[in-house]
Amino acid sequence: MKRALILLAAVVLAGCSGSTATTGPAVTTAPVATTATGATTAPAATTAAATAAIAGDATAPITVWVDDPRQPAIAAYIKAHPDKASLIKSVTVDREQFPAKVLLFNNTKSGWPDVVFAEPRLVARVADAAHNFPLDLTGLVPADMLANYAGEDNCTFNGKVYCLRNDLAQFVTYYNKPLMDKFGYAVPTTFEELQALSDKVAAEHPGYLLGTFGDGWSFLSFFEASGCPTHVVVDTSTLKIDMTDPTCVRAAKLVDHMIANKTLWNSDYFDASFAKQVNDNKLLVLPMASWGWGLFGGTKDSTWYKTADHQLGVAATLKWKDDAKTNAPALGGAAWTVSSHTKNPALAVDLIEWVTQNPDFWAGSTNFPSYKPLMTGFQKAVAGNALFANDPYPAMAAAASEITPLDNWPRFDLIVPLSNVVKDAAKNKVTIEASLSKVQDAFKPLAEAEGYNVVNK
Amino acid sequence: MANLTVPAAVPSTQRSRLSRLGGGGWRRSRTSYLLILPYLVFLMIFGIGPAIYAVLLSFAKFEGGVPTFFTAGIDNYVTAFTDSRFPQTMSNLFEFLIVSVPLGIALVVLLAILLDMRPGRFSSLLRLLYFIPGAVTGPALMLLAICILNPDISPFGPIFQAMGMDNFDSVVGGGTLPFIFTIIGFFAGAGMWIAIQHGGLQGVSQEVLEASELDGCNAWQKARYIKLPFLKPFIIYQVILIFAGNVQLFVEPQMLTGTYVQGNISPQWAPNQLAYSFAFELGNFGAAAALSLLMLAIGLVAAYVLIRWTGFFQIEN
Amino acid sequence: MTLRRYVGDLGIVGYIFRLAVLLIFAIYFVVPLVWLVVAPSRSPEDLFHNYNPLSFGSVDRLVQSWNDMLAYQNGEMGLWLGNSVRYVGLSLAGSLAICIPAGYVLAIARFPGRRLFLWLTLIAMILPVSAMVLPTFLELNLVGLVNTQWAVILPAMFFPFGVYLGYIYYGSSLPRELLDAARVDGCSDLGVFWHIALPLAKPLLGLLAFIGFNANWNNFFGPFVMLNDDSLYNLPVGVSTVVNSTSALRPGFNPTPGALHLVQADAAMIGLVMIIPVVIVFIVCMKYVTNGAFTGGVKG
Repeated sequence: MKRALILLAAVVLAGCSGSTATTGPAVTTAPVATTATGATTAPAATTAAATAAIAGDATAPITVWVDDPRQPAIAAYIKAHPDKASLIKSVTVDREQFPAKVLLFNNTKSGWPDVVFAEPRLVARVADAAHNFPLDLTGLVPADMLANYAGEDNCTFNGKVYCLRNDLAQFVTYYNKPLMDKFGYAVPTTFEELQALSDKVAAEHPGYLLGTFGDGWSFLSFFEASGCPTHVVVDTSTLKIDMTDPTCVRAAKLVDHMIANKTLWNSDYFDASFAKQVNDNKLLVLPMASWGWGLFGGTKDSTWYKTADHQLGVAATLKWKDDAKTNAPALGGAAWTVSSHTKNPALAVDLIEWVTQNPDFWAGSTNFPSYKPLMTGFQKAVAGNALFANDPYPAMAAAASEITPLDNWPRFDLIVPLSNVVKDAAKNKVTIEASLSKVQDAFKPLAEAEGYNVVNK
Repeated sequence: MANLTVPAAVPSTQRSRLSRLGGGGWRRSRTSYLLILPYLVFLMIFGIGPAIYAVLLSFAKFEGGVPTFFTAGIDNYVTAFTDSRFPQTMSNLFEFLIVSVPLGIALVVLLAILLDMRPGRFSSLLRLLYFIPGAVTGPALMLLAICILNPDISPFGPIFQAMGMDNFDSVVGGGTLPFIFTIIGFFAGAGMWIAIQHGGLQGVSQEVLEASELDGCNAWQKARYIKLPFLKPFIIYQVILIFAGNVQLFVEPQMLTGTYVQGNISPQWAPNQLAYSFAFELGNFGAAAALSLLMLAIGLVAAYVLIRWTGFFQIEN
Repeated sequence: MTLRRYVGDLGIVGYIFRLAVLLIFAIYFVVPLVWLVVAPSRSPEDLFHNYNPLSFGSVDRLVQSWNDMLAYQNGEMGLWLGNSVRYVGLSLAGSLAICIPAGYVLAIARFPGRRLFLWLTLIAMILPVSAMVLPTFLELNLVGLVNTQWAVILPAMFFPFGVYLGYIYYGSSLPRELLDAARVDGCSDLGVFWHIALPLAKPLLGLLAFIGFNANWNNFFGPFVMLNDDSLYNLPVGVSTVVNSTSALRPGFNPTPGALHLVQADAAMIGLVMIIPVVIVFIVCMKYVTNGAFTGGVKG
């Protein structure tokens, strides 16, 4: 008898493909003068002009697929636009299943949702020929408005804009300020300094940690930061993997060094054993995503710090000393996408613009917003938080415009294969440097199944 | 070979009377068809119809997830069977079947018979306790799997550690996997089969049991010579279904492959996971169908062997 | 009572063996359940930090798990509960009505096509679901039933497992003698089924009822594929949607502002609550199974 199949399909994380924002410095230097109302009226003016130009049936209803936390956003949109209320239907779904459902709808030629709250890596999956789902937003969203979204490169596939970013997950460097001060250590700014610090810690305070390395996410955190070409999406049918590149080797050497001197823990970020280390105050430094502060004590779900106050320092993202610019890895972040089959693109586009730009939902969020005018709101929200030892905003804002282009995901999952490479290396007591070729071995069949031609140069 | 209408439990005088009467009035087909008709309708719509369609799909080419029939030749089969992950999934499946099928059957039958030796409240309670885990599904089951298999936080932690496994990856990874999936599968499925065998055992005739007691049989002899043979059709049914069901192993490895909670295990460990990946990740329902037909074939061959060998489908002798 | 009488026909060694085996397996089945029962009272730190793995947490956490569950999306859990009850009730009733006569006929009667139907049923049972999903989806779409409750109920009425079980059951436990006696008395074939075979099928009914109930109550894949509207979800699909949009099983990633923050304790609570109807049905059905044996029908 068949047991009911549980579709807990790969609980893949939001791997937002990061990208460099087109207007970098404006985010931090020029204080954005828009007030709350300013932020909403300005886009509305341009939207009105834009929607007039979008073809489609303005009276057709749309279905919006969101997760539960996003329902209030839709409700608020309806409240602000009562004339559209009857046209919008929102449904709560599990977004991991959305690519599978698109395939079913392609067969019945109907039933597609019009707007989906998803993640850029999921959008990557439905952007292929088999799914053929997203609508190209170029031209539907005015170019200057698009430019105001940081990280929008991850939503751009082959020149087409398939989604609108909701929030970012850029890496910054967290550290335990009281402990670093007590031990007399300076916060590292480069990976070379991190390595030197690891030697000091191993000698003077063994048992203290400077991070963790045990799964695909932590792998990417080091290797993307180095610019290692583990999965460069050249175009829709070409993927470049070159694990022999010096950027890969240097990251591997660093990781091996820190594993050897025991300053790197050996699990993923959420493993119980790692949480215990943090709870026991053994963590000195941790490169992690901009929403990571929520884990440290900012919300009800916090698992790491027992008491919050003024312990968590936030510093700039680590880079390699001689690199021209920082490659900030990203771990997560969400995005809204519109169906190419929608009958009412004007309403769909207006909706996603509104929910990503409206400041009211962003108050109190631990997520760093993608829409630049909202970033000061985030700044205000974190400024007063007793968790922080310093102002986290500058580091996060800088990193927002430094997200590595490597954060553009291909159409297959990267994390599970990478995790297996890492775990095999640990189990067989082999160095990461010696395991680099296994990454190619793991990715190649998955890439080819998805229609990529794998190249090395 | 055993057949169904003359169970060993029926005393010989009755047996000969039955065979003389055997099936006389039932050659009238009309009533039979009437009683079976609703089922046949459903069988066609939800069983055979989709099965035929699946065969058609395996010969169809897929574009945009939509099939064009009869255009693919055997391409889908080639895609499925030459995929680099395919050989490993088959070898994993083989290891899993060797462990799970004999153990599963033997333990279920053993427990059912042991429980039946002393019917009463204690047995009923145990039967209930054995069954409840089968009702745990979905996120709760996943949570259980994550936590019970993690030596750091599991109540069985000391047992894992005594066996040299001290973190999640060592429990869920490599050579332990066929055993881990057997353990989870047994946890979730054994209770139902134990209850079914219990139901089957209700049909054993009291007279026969009492007669054997007078002859001096103890509980173990009764089990071996009366109950076990009586259970034979139920056991055969169980073997067929457990075998076929285990060929389609999906839930357990899928649960442990999340990007989140994850053991050291390939995302397509079992063939059915590979089929699922073809269908729902690549939109190639044709290759998924090809693989599924292979799994069906394996299960059917085993079923055929068993059915012929034991005369499972025969009525009268 | 002397030891020998207590131990009875098991023998001392046998008695100990039996008890030991049964208890070892009881531990295997029950300890994880105890863990699950205690889990709703434990906070994430408590769950993941190696205190006594089976310890009770706090009553507050327990109450909160309960409230979280009820509060989800304005009490949508209640709606899903109602849906589940409706789907299970209808499909169980339908499947029992369909498969018991079918099993009976397959066991008792000789008619052309009998063996064919047995083979077809077996094939339908062991063909993997991933192959059947698309065809079934397309079939139901043709008649416009996708995203309605019938897309869940109708496929669930197809219960080949029950047909086989009925086939085995009637084949092994129904004395032909009884049926012939009834026919001799002038009963029609249908009458024999209705008046003799059916009432004697209590154990079968009990077995099929709890198996069918369990399968339908926990049915995830079918409803997941067929339903897009969250007001139609049954409990398994709804719960999965809820849990997967929170950090209960995906700790920490992108926690979102405002909404319900479910954690492991809540997932465990929901899981436990879903087990309760299955347990109740099992207990009730087993009474039928154990007490309704055929043996009463045959005189010695």
